[in-house]
Amino acid sequence: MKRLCAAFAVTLILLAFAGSALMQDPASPSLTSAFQDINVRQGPGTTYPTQARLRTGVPVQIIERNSVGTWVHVQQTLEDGTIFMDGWVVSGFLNLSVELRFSQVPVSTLADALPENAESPALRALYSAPIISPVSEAMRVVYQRGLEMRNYSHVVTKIGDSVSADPLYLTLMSRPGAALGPYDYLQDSLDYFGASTQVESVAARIGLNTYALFDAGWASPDTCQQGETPLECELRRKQPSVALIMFGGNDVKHINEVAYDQQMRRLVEETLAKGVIPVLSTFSANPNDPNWWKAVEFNNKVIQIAADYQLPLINLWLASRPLDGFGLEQDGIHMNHWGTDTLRFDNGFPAFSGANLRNLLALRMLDEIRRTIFLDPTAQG
Amino acid sequence: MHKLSLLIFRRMWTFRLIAVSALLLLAACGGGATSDPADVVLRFMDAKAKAHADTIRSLICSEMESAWEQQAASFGSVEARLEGASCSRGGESDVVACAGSIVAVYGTETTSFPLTSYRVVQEDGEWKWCGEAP
Repeated sequence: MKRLCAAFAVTLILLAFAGSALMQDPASPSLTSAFQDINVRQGPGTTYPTQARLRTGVPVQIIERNSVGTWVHVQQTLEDGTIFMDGWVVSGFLNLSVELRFSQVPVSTLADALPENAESPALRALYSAPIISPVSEAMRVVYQRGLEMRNYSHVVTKIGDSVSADPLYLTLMSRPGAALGPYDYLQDSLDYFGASTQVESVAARIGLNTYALFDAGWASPDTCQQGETPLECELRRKQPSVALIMFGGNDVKHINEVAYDQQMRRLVEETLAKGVIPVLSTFSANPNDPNWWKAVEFNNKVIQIAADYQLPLINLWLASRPLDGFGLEQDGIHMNHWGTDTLRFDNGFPAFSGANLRNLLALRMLDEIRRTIFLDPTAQG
Repeated sequence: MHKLSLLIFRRMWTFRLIAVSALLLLAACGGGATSDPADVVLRFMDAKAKAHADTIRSLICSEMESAWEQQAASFGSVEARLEGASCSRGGESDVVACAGSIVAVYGTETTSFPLTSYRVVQEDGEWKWCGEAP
């Protein structure tokens, strides 16, 4: 009896150690720590209340993530199994394990923001739109029409001003040496669309605005036909299935929101008419910028237009809220860089560069479109 | 004879003055920029580079009137100017060919937009810019 009792006690002790080791297993890919002190919030966004600070180096376990992976739900568990801290942090501030795969981390259903906590009612729409919108059934029809017009399923292009003309935006997807890090679930879409981003877009130019896009004078004479606008030229020569569109940084300085709305709708309609899925994007802005409230109005227009035409929408404005300087350079227009010419989403990088975050969101949206529409067996790609 | 000569001399001078004034008036009325299609195109492109909406509106043809805002705002996001620009009309055709370019500066980036050929039409006796020539 004594032997049996001792054996039971030893088993219990071993089990207890095993349980403790599981919680603190340094080999677990989901175990991580922050490389600087960061806020822990009640949800995956800056409108969720802050409930704690995660100190540098303190080990936490990743429980789930937002739809992109830019925010993760972490828990700090004591040795007795008690959850000591539980909340959401920006994943870019974490020392992520090279073994971590976001494809194996559950996706939370929590919204990307709490609009009711917005600093102003004018910002509610911007906080209500998810970072990556779902892809509507209406876009399936556009895609099918595009295929009938001989558009290429694997070709994506970009349309916009200097923020989009930046050679480090989208074009990086065509370069070798991409390091997706934990964003492994994006690899197939990178393989699918990547090569098409190598060719420069004639509809993404420095100084371009929503009026110049329809001005033949802005079309490249070497590439475009006489009288063709940059938009017509780009869609003719590439015949893409998807166009990533972002305007605002230039327009906000010299036209009003009515004109912006009119021009953006014209852009959307011409793109749809060519069987190309237009993906709209809000643009980042800094509250200290003199054009801040105008930028908010413009971004609200973008959200409204996306809703009216059931278009895919990237809410870059929302995604860039946690970034230093909102992901912008000092000029308040261009996305900041951290100085590499390859696509890298491994440790920390999306947290420190607006340009990198934008690439991540573009690839995430392309992935959403490919999975929702292109991989559908009813679509003929 | 002396008085007659004086009278003739005075009349000649009066006539000359009237003639010169009439010529000057004619030059002022008829020699304005809008009478020369090449000059109209040059002025239009200059106004476009500088985003001068009023000038653009006054020089655009009625067929293109709905596009005046686009023409006025197209270079609104950059600092632009004409460089080496000259235009000439090919005989009696409605096409004006231009050389030179619009040079646009945005931050530290300078971009050149070569001028091309443009269509002109006459409306109410005035030449108007009417889009790029096909």
